[in-house]
Amino acid sequence: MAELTLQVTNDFAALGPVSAQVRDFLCACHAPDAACFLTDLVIEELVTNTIKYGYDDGDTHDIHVSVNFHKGCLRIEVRDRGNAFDPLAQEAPDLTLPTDERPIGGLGIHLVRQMTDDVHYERRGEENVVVATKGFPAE
Amino acid sequence: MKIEEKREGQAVILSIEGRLDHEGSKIFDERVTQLIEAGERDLVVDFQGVDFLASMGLRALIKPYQTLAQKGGKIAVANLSDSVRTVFRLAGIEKAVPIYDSVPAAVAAV
Repeated sequence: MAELTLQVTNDFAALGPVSAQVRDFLCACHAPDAACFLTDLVIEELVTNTIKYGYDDGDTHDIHVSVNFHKGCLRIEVRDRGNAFDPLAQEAPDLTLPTDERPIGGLGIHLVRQMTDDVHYERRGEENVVVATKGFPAE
Repeated sequence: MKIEEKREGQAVILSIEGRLDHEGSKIFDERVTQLIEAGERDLVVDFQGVDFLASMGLRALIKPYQTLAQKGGKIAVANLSDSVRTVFRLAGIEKAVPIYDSVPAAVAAV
């Protein structure tokens, strides 16, 4: 089973090249376009959260990302050794509010939840681990 | 991410090329804020060249929507890909920020 593993530094500028690598990998796996978009989105949202909330020291840190696509099943894992932080514990945005009254925030994790089949968080030793999965039935 | 601008009547059309990710959205947000501060009230965003949109991109649209709503202005979007349109729908903003199939239709509506 093919798997792509990457180490991303906690720098927003590092996300663009990661996206290109992930898309190339999924293309080679013959994954559908929707899987490429979803993977891009999940990594962007989870790594962005880690960069924002994971570290207090201003140093450079590695965030570990792995992606695999096998028999139509997409699995994305993001691991970091930052502050314990469960992104899924954030309150969901209130989408019933009119857009001009709605607080701007919480949308990223909402999108990850809505667009995947399953997403879960676990604090494993010193690591935050988030795993998202989604199935893509054969067309 | 690149933005090309064109005026059509009272509207400014911003054609985006690239990704509305964290970095791209910052560039978009800065430019739209400048336009609104300069007095522009009708904005149309052409998504034809947008291949990726994350929550930061949505925030970069909701913010000017909120600002323009207070100032009597409007923002509309056109030419969304299926994936980008799905993100709009799941975020619940497609009912507020109007979506059009073409730039001329969006310009006519703002």
